[in-house]
Amino acid sequence: MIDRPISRRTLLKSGAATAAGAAAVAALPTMAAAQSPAVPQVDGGYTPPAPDTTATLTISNWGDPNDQAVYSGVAERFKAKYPNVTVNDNFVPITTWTDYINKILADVAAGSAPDVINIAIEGVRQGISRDLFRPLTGWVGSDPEGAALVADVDQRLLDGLSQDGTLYLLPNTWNTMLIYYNTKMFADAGIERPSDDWTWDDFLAIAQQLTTGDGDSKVFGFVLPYFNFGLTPWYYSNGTSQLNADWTASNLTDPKMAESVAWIRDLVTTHGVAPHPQGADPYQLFPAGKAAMTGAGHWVVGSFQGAGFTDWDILPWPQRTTKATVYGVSGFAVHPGSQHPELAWEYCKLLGGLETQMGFVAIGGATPALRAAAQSPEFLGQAPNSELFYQAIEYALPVAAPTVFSTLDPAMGRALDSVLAGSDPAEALATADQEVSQAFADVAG
Amino acid sequence: MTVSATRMPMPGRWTERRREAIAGYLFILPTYIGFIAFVLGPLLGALVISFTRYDLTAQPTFNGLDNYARLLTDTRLHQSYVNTLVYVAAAVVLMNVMGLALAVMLDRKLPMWLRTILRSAYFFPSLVGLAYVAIIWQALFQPDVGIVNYYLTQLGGPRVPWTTSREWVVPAVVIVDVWKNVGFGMLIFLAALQDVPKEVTEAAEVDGAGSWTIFRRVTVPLISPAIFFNVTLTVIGAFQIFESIVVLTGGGPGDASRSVAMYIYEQGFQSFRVGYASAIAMTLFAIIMVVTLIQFRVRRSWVFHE
Amino acid sequence: MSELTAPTGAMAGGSGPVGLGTRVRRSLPTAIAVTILVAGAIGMVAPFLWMLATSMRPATQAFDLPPSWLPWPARIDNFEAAVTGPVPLPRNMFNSAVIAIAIALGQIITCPLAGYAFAKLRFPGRNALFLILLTSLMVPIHVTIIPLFVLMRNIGLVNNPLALILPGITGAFGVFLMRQFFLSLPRELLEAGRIDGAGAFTTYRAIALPLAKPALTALGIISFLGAWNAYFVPLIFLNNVNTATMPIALVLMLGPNRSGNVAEIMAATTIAILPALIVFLVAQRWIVASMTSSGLKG
Repeated sequence: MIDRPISRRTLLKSGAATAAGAAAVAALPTMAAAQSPAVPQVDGGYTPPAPDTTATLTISNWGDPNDQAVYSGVAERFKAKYPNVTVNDNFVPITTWTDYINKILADVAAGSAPDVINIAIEGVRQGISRDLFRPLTGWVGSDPEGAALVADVDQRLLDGLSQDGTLYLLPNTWNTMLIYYNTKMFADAGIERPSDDWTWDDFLAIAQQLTTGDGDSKVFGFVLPYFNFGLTPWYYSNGTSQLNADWTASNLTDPKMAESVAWIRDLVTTHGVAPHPQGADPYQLFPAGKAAMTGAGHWVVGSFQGAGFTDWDILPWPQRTTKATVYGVSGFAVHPGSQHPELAWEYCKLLGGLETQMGFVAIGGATPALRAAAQSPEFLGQAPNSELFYQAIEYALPVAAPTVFSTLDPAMGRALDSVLAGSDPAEALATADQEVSQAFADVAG
Repeated sequence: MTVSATRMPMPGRWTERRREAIAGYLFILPTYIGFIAFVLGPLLGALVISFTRYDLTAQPTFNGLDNYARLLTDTRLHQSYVNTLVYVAAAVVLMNVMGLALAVMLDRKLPMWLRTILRSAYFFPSLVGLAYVAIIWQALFQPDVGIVNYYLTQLGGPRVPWTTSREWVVPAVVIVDVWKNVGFGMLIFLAALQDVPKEVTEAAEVDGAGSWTIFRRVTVPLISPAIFFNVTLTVIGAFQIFESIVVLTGGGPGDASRSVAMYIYEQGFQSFRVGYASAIAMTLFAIIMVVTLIQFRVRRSWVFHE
Repeated sequence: MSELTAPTGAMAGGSGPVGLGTRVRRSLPTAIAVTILVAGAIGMVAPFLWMLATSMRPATQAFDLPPSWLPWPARIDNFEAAVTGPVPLPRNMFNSAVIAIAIALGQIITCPLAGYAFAKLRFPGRNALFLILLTSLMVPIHVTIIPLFVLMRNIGLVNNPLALILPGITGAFGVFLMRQFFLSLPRELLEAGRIDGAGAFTTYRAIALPLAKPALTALGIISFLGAWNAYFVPLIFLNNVNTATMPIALVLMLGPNRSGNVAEIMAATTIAILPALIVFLVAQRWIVASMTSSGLKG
């Protein structure tokens, strides 16, 4: 099912968007400074386009309706600055990363490439390999405004949007995966908050204890975030990954991958602590009290607030061999074919600017990449233990996003669906491995 | 197609003929322009593209028979073909047997209102888009809260994982397909049955034939053109099954319900292996062509002509 | 063929038993047949009823078991939510309507012309040309879609309704249907009404076309519904929510792991099915007549 259309929410989940990190910055004031990105010297030679420039800009954005409102605000502010520029804000409400990337590639193939592309780490290598992004280095080096934005972002986030030291996207927001748990259910069952170094077995024991009832009153111990970004922590915390270290080959035949996939399956089948993912939206079931735990990034905070759900707290992902989780970051790029690259860059700066970042804070969505937004009281006041979101970057690894991501993602989806339907994990992964390896070979050839 | 070929001895008639012929060509011109631009041309285009490596953006490069070689080792394609053949077989058998059975049951003296309501109930789904009905059915097929499983378990049946288990996804797709299309088949059969002359069946009865024998030996041959028509349409349609699977199962779990049409779409417009997708498309076209030609060939041996 | 010109005939109106009826009635009692038919008919209608009932109940009751089949008390908030949601349904519906109407109009102009020529005009190569045209019924759209996409892209029509309209305004099926109809018109009728010296087009316009109204109605409706229901081709050409048609929009509404709001989705589906229902209630007899004639004389 993962290769089917997935929603706006999932997009947010899957890496890009949002909010966690701000608080983190507050908690770790030295870190950001210590890791200050190697921002190029700014020569100030950049001149923005004249305000009376006439042009049409096409923007490819994605997100949920709240994000759409934030992006519409950007379009309005841009219009105020450049009244003669027509902005087509092509907003994609619902898709998987694969579908979104493919949609952009289809637009490019259709000869209607957008000028500005909003995309996450999942699409960065693939996009670079298909020449979707213009390097930003020149602008960042000559435009003090751009340089200031980049200087206020953690280097690891910039790394996710760069290749070989060249920055291709101006950061937007970012995410990591943590375990959310229902504090009331834990207290009622007399379960103490586990340690931050808890294990898969600790996790399972609690999930089993909290799986109760039947029929309408059924409560699950856990509900799976069943999409690539949400499943990846189960691989990373088992000391493995879908790919080799530099993302140039499949690692799907690693027995530890099969072990992780079998574990995911067993949560649903053998242990019965999680519902079948089909039709089970974790971000409806968890706040409705139908599941005691789930996994998510900061992006759910706004919707939990909206639903009046407050009985929750967060924990690091449990570990088997390794304390690890996943992170992802999104950003804005200028398409090399753009007729108005400077205007597009101006648009990117508004999209990645502080006012927009505060807009995301206001909707309780993604973690802003700008420290200025992430350290704001508005952001810090939103969630309990907010520092955990940011601390996760210390042990989080970027989501595996090779040039063949749009083969890897659906192939993994089919493998997991097959395993849940009864296939042997190693066999299902071997099938996916063949497909991914073929795709790597195709790219090379 | 030179007009002079139709030259007639009488000059007057010759002109008239000629004018009629010119009119004929002009009348079919719009349709033929559309046919050449949007069917024949693209068909030849697909053939050419099938010998290239092409991703829709970079220039295509010829790669000989590479794409066709790949067909042989692509297990996902093989699975998709197996599924598609099952869909075709199920559609042909179920749609026609059930359509005919419904038509036979409906072809009797009934109050007009009842007859109209029944016929409408069966026929209506065939006018509704497959994507729409699949959206309804995917809700009905929900394992825990769907009404299909609710009534099934009420009747003592099992709780069937319709859209998530390898065993049940294909039946689920077939159920929706048959549900949607059986009324169309029924309608064709009903019209054919009503055209069967009463005298013929009565004569057979006088000869002492039983009802089943009459049905087998008299009625079926008489309605064989309708059977042929239905089978032909069903075969061509079922080979192209696409949206119901997209909505119901996404082709999964794994590839357990994926059809060839879905796989062409995936390879062409999601993985951008456009040359390879075209090669698959050519195999699909060839298979439909061969199957249809075989049908027309064997038609002579069983379809009754007045 | 009489059904076409007299749509109130046996097929459409459902008069008494003909042919086999008497025969089978003896082997299968009417009571049993009707019981089976009614049970089956309930199964045919139930999904639509569930859709309607669900569209009018609060989302939280969408999956109530046992299901409630009555849409009472009717609420329209799901419809409101669906049309004001993130997927711009009114826009999508407008797109669908424009495309479907344009295609239907195109078909009722081009298809009878060609159908008439293939049925009534004599010209060299007629039968061969007709057969070649018919082979296009065997060419799946999935086979030609890639070159079609390249073509439309090169003339800048991706995300433009014309990408769907242009290939849709004529088609072998419509020509076949219209040919079937014109074949049934006695040649003498055309000859008799023919004004001396009038060209083929005048005869067609003044005599043949007026007689073809029921068949044209059927063709128009069938083409309209075909375009309204189409999913695959719009999926290729319209990859933007604002240019998308209804089926694309509805599939988008399903959401991740099918977690979209079921009540809203059913409300949207109800809206999408409405044209088919209206057409069915108003024009059933013509559709039925032309469908069956195409099958019987095929």
